[in-house]
Amino acid sequence: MSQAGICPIQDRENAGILLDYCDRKLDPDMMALLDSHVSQCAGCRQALAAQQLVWEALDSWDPAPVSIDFNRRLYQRIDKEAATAWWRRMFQPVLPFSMRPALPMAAACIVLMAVFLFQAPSEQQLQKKMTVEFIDVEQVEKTLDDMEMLRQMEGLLQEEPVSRRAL
Amino acid sequence: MSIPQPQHSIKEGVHKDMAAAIVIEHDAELMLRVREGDPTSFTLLLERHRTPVIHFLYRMVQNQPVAEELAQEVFLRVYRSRASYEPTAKFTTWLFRIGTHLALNWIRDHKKERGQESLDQEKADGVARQVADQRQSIEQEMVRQVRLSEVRRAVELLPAKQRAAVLMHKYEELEYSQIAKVLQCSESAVKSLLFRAYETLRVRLAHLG
Ligand SMILES: [Zn+2]
Repeated sequence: MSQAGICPIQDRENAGILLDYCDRKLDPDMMALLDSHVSQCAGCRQALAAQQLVWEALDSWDPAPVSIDFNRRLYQRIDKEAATAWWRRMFQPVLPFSMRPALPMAAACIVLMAVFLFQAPSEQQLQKKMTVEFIDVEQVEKTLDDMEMLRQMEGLLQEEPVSRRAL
Repeated sequence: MSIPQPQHSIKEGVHKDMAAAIVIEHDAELMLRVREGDPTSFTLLLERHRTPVIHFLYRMVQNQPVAEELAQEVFLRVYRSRASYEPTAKFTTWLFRIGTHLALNWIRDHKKERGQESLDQEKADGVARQVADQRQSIEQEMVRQVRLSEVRRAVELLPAKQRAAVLMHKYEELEYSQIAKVLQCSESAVKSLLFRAYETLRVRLAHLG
């Protein structure tokens, strides 16, 4: 009991006792008992000194101060989550729990379909587009015809006075 | 910003045990108020527990930005799960359980990168301290830095669960029963973890005496 390292108090089963004794956490009776034991046991005294050294070493390790914007960043994240929560609330109550992981995939599919539908012209749109193109051609032809007609009329009008003069 | 900042911190009682009991009850009470939709109570909980959680995570991962990021996740998870909160365990136990879970996962995922990162962080901390402690002589500061890096290294080399147990026991002063709940093991297993961890630290740090 007086030699270092062989005291039963230092066994794994009694691991908490020396730590609590070192930390003055034991009840008064147990403290008195340990005081008496330690005064006679070199192994325990050595273990206690080594433990004290460990705690002093650990005490020297001060952590860095917390960033001043820690709370602000957290509240931003909370606000962001709250803003997107309405979308989740729309789907989550009606879907069974097992289907919830499929939600992001379903959302992606909806977006893809929407993009496809907006980009690919519908039959009606195609017909409308063709009609527009057809009208355009007609309009141009009509405009050209009108211009030709105007030109002819202009010619007639210019010729008319001469003929009138001749008359 | 929907969550108001508190105007003053909550004063704790004079008698330590009584104060601890009040704080424990108060934490659960505050969390129940958060559950009912009171954002001020969340701010009070954050103010009270932010620093110990970040310090614990910092000593676990030994990287300040990572520790703060993990702490953000801890409080975000607390806020997210407010609706289902039941005061079955101490609030701090719950908090440290989330924090330890996140830290152990992070350590597992970044095991290979740790060596260099830890050294870089040590240098960064060293520069910050050199500026802060200009009154100390360069020699004293160098000795302090060497000692500090040895302490950090000794803790870092502990298996992650032993490390968590030591940090909760030494710095956060959690009871064995609380550490057991955090690590999801028995109290005797916690004592065994602590025994092995301190035994290792006693050997590794013996030369500092
Ligand atoms: Zn002994």
